[in-house]
Amino acid sequence: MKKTFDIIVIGGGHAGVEACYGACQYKSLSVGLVTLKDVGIGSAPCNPAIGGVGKGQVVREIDALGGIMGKLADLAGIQYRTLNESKGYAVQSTRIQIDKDKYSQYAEEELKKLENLEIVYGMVSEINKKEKGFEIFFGESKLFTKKLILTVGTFLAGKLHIGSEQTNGGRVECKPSPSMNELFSSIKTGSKKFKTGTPPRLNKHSIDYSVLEEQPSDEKVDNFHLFHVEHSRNLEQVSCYLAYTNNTTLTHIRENKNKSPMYNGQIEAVGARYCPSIEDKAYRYPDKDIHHVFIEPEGLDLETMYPSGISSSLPRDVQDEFISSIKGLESAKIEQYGYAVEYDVVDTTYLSHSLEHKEVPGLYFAGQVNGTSGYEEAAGQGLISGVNAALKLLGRDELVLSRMDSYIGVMIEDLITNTRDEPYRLFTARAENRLYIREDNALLRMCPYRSSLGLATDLDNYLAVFKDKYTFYCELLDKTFVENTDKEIASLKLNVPRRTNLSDVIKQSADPVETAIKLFKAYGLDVPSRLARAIAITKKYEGYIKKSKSQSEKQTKLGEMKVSWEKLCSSRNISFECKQRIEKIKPITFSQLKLIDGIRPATLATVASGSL
Amino acid sequence: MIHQYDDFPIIACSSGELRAAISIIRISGFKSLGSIEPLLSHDGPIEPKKQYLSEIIEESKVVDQVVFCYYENPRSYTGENLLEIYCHGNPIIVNKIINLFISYKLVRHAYPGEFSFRAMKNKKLSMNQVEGLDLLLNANTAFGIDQGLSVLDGSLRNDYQQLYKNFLEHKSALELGIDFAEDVGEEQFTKKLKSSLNELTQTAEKLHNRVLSNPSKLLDLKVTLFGSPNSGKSSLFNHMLKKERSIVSDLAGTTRDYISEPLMIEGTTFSLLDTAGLRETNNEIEQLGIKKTRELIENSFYNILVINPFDYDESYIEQFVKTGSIGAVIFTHSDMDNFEAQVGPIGPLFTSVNKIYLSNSKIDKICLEDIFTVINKKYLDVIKVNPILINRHSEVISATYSHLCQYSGLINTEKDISILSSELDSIGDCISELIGIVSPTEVLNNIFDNFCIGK
Repeated sequence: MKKTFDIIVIGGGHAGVEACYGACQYKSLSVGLVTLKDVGIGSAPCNPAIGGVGKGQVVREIDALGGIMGKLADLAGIQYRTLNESKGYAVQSTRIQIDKDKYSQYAEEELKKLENLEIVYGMVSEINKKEKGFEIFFGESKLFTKKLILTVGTFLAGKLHIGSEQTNGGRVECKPSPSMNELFSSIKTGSKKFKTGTPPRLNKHSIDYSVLEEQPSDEKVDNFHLFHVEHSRNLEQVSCYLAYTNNTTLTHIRENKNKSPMYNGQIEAVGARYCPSIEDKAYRYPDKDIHHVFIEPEGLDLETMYPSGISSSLPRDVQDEFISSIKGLESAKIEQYGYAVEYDVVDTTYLSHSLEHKEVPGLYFAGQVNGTSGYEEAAGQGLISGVNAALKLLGRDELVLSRMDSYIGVMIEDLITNTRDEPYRLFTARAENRLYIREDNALLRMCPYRSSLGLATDLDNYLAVFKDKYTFYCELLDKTFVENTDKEIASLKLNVPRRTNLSDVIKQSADPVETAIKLFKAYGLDVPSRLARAIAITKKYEGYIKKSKSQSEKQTKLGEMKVSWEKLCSSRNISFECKQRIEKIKPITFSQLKLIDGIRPATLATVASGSL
Repeated sequence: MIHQYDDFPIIACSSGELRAAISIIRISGFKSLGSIEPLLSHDGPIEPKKQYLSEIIEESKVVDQVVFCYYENPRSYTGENLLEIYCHGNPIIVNKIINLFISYKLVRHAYPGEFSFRAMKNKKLSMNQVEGLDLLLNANTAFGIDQGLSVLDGSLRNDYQQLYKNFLEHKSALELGIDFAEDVGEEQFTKKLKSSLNELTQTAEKLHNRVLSNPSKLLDLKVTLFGSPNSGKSSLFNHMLKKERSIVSDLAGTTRDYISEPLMIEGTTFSLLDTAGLRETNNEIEQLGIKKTRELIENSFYNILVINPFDYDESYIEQFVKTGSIGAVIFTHSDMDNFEAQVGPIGPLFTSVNKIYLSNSKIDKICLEDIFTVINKKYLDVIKVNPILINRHSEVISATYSHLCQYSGLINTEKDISILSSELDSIGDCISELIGIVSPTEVLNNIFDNFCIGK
């Protein structure tokens, strides 16, 4: 076994996998992945799904930047869906249910293909900062690395709860792991622990599907990975089902409030408001008894179904009771009880845009340890940390994604400019430029970032061609003027002016994508449907994006205004409390200053007026 | 311009230019009292917020005997070290003291509004408060002062907060349908979207109703008498004021400029204006007077058209009736024979205008009371709406309202929620300007350039 590495990644979850994959693109570097033997690589301990609103966009960004998540999700996909299909292209997202065992298996296979990666199994017990890197101890052995990426998920001082039962560990049936303090004493963790939970898993043969709403896989949904043929499917497709809780379900839960670790004081950590356990729903909304329960298959060969929406840490008997009260689940057998897990998170305001720790250069953090939730969020950070660790070693410019053109950029800037008191999940509402950062144009948005990495691969070639063609066809549409009596236009039966250009024809049609595809075909142009889609949707939003840009120009200009945090901190006119926060975050633009939690409006007004 | 301002200590007389028993000179922004002490005869420690009797000394000569008080930063009006000197109120003394401090290069003259600017910079005053202060210091009416106070104490801000809250509710409802569609379901989403838009529209409408096109009319309540020459304006003017001010003669065109006198009605002070008579004329001076009258009519709170039904110029009357700017019409000479027959043909022109008949030989009290009543009624009606007097606020509220009207139309036709949300953002930008989350530089510059605020 190798003892010295350029980069070591600790943790083989979604963040760790992307970090390795991102770093290994630079073939001259040696990368090590230290992970636990009893936890699968890229495992899915929560929902067996990749993508979702806002998250689907992230997966496509990762894919275009050279990450692996999209490819794995396609390979392991067993049910495809487009969320928000009727609500506008900008907020439409792909979600793929995955076979979680297969996903893990493909992830391991893909990593093993990387020649400059070595996977090391074991539990790290201590890390020491050395002058030129880090010493990592586990068991009897010791490794050395120049750059270190920690993607340890929920494992930092993780503690599991099922009713009054408590066990140490970051995952069910896993060994306990040390706290950050034991592992690396100079790194500060956030003052609060975070909490997340998972529902009980049900035996798939014990459910009466005939009384549930079936949600079949949608064959029209495009794959995530750009090299996969659009509608190809690797595995057999299956359905999800929709069930509902009722008054009896919620009554059981309400009657057992005193047994809930979340509510009897056993768990002090903070869960996310947006991802409430069924206990939260029961106690917080006493008038609402009907909640959605999505029954999702965990895998083709696995015996379990995942009932999404009812995560719980109630005692086993209460879980049995409330599950059986749900129509269709009357005789459902619980294979694994739901549990809650508490874990330490690091204070992300110490991290830079490249996710490097500002006080411990060479040390990177990514994923759930940064207080985020979701595989996609973790993967996005993993990729950024891995690529940046590599770029730093090679003495190259860092890769920083802007929040104006990517969800990854939104997430990272949110993370590093603020401490949060609940886990962070991406929502499309967090993005100021939502009409632009969409799934359909992810390839175009990521193209400049990818090419800045200086890797001449098939991917780079694909993106360059895609972008060239995009520019060409867009221009063609703008410059081609037609009469509405032309047979190509007339056949579309659209309400368009007598003379107009093709861009406007697309813009004004009810279904711009369909119209674009028909038009290209009518004029004998062979435009791939992914490209046609990106073009059509861009045309549709063009006007709105321009309008919102000009409207928010004042704000944007102000946002881009450079501020000097040193000057702010030495100003007598800013409160001590504000200065402390400013000093910690070190904002360089007004918009970053504005994002800082607890900055007083008066301070912003003063800075905005240019009097500081 | 604000960007020309620096941190150098500033000095100014804060109590106005007029001769008075006592004047107050303020010095703000000095590092320590040490630099200023040599000019004061007072010996010994100076504690903040205590008054000391002292002499101002120039080269061992006494300039004036004064009382001073020191306010230590940040507990002062400007948030900086501040010295207030109460000296004798002779402008010569005041200037001497100010120049003394300047000659020692301890301070410079303050720019107009600079004390308040520093107060705002140091978070002693918010943007809204500065605007309130402006209103408070420059208002001529009790209502203006009330609103100035309500801005200062933040109650107007509460109304804006309500608008912001309603906006957030609606924006949240939209976002709910995007990011949490699976959690809430379609039905709940649609319901919430509708109810929150209703509330937002209601609040915006209420505020919009309070926006008057010209709020300055309320800050200076002009009541203007106008009409053809010799129609009896000046007589009426004198009667309303119960004194002889305007020159009254039978020769038409006596009042060439305009005359203004305060008029108290039910505790509110109006300015009663007597204007040059309107008629065709080649006399340049008279033409100027007539032009001025037109301007006054445009900017008055209340216009009273005075008509002598035996001698009037119909074309003028019609012009003004059309603009809708007339509050009341007074027909004089009601005691003359044939009066009713004379009024007959003109009367119908004034359908929604108060009509009052005034006797010429003796001014009866009841008739004057009628005039005062209609003026005061309009004032009370306007005040009831609680109009918003700060120009910037009115502009922003009007913009918010018109964006909202457009948006309400769009929501019925556009199915793409992300587009709706993006359109809604323009309303959010407006409202955030109103509650001062971010105050763009121009606004500040504008205020401090154009208003002299609380020097």
